Amino acid sequence: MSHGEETDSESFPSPPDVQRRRVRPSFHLLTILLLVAAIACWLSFYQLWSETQRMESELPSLRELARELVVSDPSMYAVVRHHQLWNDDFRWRIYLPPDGNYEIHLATREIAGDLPQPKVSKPIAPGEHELELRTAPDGDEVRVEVLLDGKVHLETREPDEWDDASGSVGGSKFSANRQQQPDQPLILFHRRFSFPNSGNTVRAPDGPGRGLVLWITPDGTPSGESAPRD
Amino acid sequence: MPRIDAKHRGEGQAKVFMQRALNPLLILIAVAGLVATVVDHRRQAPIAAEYRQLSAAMGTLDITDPDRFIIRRLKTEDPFDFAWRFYRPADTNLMTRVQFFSGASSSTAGGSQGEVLLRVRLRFEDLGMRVFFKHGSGSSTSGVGNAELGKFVRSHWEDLDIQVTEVGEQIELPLDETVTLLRISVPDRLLEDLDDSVRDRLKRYTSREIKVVLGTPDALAKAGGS
Repeated sequence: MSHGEETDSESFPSPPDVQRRRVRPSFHLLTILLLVAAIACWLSFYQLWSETQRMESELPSLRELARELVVSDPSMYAVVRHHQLWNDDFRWRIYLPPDGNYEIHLATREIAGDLPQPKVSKPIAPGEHELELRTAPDGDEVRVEVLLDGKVHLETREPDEWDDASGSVGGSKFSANRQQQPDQPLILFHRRFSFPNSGNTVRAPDGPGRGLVLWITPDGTPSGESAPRD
Repeated sequence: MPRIDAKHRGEGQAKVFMQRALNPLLILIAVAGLVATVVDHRRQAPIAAEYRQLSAAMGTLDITDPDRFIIRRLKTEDPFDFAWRFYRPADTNLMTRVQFFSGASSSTAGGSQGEVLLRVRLRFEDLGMRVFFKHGSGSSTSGVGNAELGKFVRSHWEDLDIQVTEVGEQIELPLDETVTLLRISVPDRLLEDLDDSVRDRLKRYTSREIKVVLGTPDALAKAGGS
């Protein structure tokens, strides 16, 4: 009997032993490896996700700084002006939606608030283009050129007194990347020259005057003064 | 005694059950993590490509302290062209003073916080030389109408004292301090190479340097530069 009692006490753990075994769970090596693998997978995901978030948050300002053309909506115009390297440096990268025909216009006179009658116009194909507006003295004249993808696309000449360098109002309508509905004229540049006032001051003309306007319209739409401004 | 035996057997079964349930659960969690990682990696690929391309051109600016001016010089192709990425804290006015030999001009830009590009570019012309300074949306041009001086500066460019921050070096500036972005000066030893008329004129200048200094209006005033 006493032997039986001893056997009972050796065979079956006392209640404290059971409790100790409960709080000390044992795992197979496979379970531990799987746990490590699961943690590693989610840690790599977290690192990757944080890195992606960081880059995504920095990209808008980087795009603005780099003046990259971003076309979020391919049915709209997109424009970005390249960084200005000098005060007469006017270069843009533009995007024109594919399902349309367009004309580019240049005006040098009769410039007021609205769009003037163009002095020269030419078709421009849809897609992405590099545009540059240049003015340079050429003998007794001033040569005004619009370069399309590096080649002269529009050209006109004005007498030397056309711009007496008294000053001007306006300039490029775009700097950072912008998109615009294609049913409105895409006005890239709008500048009115000032003229000497009494004394040493200058002022903008009250009515239409000399200046430079460069804009793009869908082909077949009025490109002159009846066209609305943006 | 039977009561303890049943309990022990129950524990064993629970343990086996847990072991059987835990391993598939861990496999599921690991596979889900792996799939999420692969999916995010694919999503990240174009973002990372654009980020790498843009930051290669524009550098990266670590905004470690949003209450300081932060500046990093960018690489440029033209030796007469200097550019910096510049971060300005919110509601802080930034004043820029451009010294161009005897002439000096100041401009102030304010507004919301953000990054802009600063650029200083020199141009040599038949009638002299000019400097173009661009900061965000504003710009200014200064010039010296002396063709000989322009030719001299261009031909002795390598011999001039040019102090400029290193490309890629980030500068963090407390709002009560100023920073000289660029300083180009004509050393005395070079003056002998000049024509007498140009040398005399240069000696009459109050300054023989091109200098661009930035800071808040208060900081520049304190530094005696406003």
